[in-house]
Amino acid sequence: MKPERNVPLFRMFLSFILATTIFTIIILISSGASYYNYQRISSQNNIVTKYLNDMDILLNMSTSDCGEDILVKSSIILDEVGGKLDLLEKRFGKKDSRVLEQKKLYSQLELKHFNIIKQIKKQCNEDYITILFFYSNNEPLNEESERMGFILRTFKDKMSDKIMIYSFDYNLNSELIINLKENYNITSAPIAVINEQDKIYVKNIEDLTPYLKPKLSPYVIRLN
Amino acid sequence: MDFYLILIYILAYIGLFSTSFYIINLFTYYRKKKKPEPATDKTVSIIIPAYNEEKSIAKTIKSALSINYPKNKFEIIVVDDGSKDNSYQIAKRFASNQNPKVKVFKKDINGGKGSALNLGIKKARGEIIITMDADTIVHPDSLKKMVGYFTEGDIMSVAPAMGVFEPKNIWRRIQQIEYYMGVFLRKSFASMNAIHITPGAFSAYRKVFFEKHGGFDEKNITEDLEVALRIQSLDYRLENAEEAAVYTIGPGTFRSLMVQRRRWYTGLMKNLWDYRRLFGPKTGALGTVVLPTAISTIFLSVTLTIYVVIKALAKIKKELLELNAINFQFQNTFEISSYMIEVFLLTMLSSKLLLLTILFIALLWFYMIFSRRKMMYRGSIRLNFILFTFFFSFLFAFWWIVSTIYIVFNKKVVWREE
Repeated sequence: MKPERNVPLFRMFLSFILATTIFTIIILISSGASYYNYQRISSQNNIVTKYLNDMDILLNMSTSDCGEDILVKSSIILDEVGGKLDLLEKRFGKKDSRVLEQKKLYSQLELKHFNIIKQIKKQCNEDYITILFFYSNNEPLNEESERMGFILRTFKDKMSDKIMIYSFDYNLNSELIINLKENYNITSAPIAVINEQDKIYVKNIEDLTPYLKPKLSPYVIRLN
Repeated sequence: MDFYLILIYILAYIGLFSTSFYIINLFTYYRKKKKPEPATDKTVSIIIPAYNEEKSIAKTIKSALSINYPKNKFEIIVVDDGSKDNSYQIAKRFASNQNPKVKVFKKDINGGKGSALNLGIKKARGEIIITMDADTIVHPDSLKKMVGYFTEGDIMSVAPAMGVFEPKNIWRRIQQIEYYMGVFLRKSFASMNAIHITPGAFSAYRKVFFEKHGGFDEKNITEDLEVALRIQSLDYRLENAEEAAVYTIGPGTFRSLMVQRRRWYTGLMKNLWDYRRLFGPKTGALGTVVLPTAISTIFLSVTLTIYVVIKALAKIKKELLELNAINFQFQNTFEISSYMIEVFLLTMLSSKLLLLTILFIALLWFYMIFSRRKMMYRGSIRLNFILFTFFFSFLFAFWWIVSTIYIVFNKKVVWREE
């Protein structure tokens, strides 16, 4: 007796229906999650707008108040928004239009914080070191930019809380960035502007030492 | 969309489709077909080919002798394939101990497993031929269960449920899960007459098949695979006795496992090419679903793994360059904070990949439940399952790459390294 060799078309059809249904459910669930995240971003825009106003108030206060409160509050706002922006970049990608919109708001917050620090330096005789870091997410500069950002962060972690780093996307289509590039004569990325004076490009953490160590001398250097 | 995401989606869909197809067929099979009762109505010859097996041959013969089958319908034939060690002398001791069931033959020159099996078949008197490897341990009732499946004349071969015997090291633990996957797949293939591999470690064949269509291909490095494909190509049937538990010790080192898989995979490629006529609608589910799915899954999963490894290496290179830029002065680099947890939740939980991974782990676990229940295995497999989930795809890709290189450059594949 020869075995049956028919193509089991009905079972294949059933399997197709079953596989397609499960696959579609998975896509729908994950798209739902994606939509939920998008909603979170939308609602966050309102929060950041509120934060921008808070920053303005703090900036006004900084002209007359030398208490730590202003710095702490403004830094908390910056850290919170920065952390969320980082997550959104990881989730949706660095080129996602929603992320780029969020980044424009974050850049505004950074600039306001930068101005608060400048005020505190002026009014309260505090020697903060400010670093404006211009990076690029475009190939082939993105790897160099990430490495330089990593070096700057590590240097700050090792050396002092008095170092303030503000990162700006060199390619971001924003009036704020264009103005900053004009003000500091920035024509390429990655590059860092230290205390609005020295423009440097670093490949190794040691490259920072001649620029920053003399400025850090009044503070206790935590690690060597 | 990233190349690897496209690959994952295609693989996931093929996996979902084929698994659904296998489950539906299995469900229909169990509903329609009554499970055959264990039987002892046929005479059986167990052939054990041995080449330099002095360490395990005694254990194997003892395992064969402990098989629960009528004494007058059962013989054990040991064929020493020109061993350079004491395999023959050890086996001969069993034959000389007034044990008429055990017969030992010696070939002067090593001719390979196929030739040893063919000599055994010539000497055999049983209607059913069992091929048994020297590192195989058989449950005493498995043979009766397998013989019970020879219900119709066109069923030429019956495969058992293969497991790994008491796996203790990482390589055998991973193999155990792989073998359990095989238990489910082989049964579902049997439900649509699509078995295309019979385990060389322990399989049953009708002797009449060898008499009509020749014995094992002596030049073939995977002679068990060749004979299964030959049975399919001649329009006979292969069955699976999923409750007949048989255990292999399995390779215990990375190298020995690699040598085994190199032989299996090169053998699979060569034999599938030789039997390419099995592809297509004339062989039903075998040619339209089972074989095409197997080939495409192998190709896609190996490509995906290579891609992932290259991406991971690029990432490691980038990280190293960053660490080099700070002169490898670590600070809080590995701190697990609430921030990291949030990263995980936001970036992973909403991702399609995670959902697909969960789905496939669930399917794999379902295979395990099926196989453990059928083989009545009581031990824990959690650790083995975790090891398999993390490492198998990399090992699988590596074995396939090595095997492909051997095929492309026409390198000689050995049965095992001396």
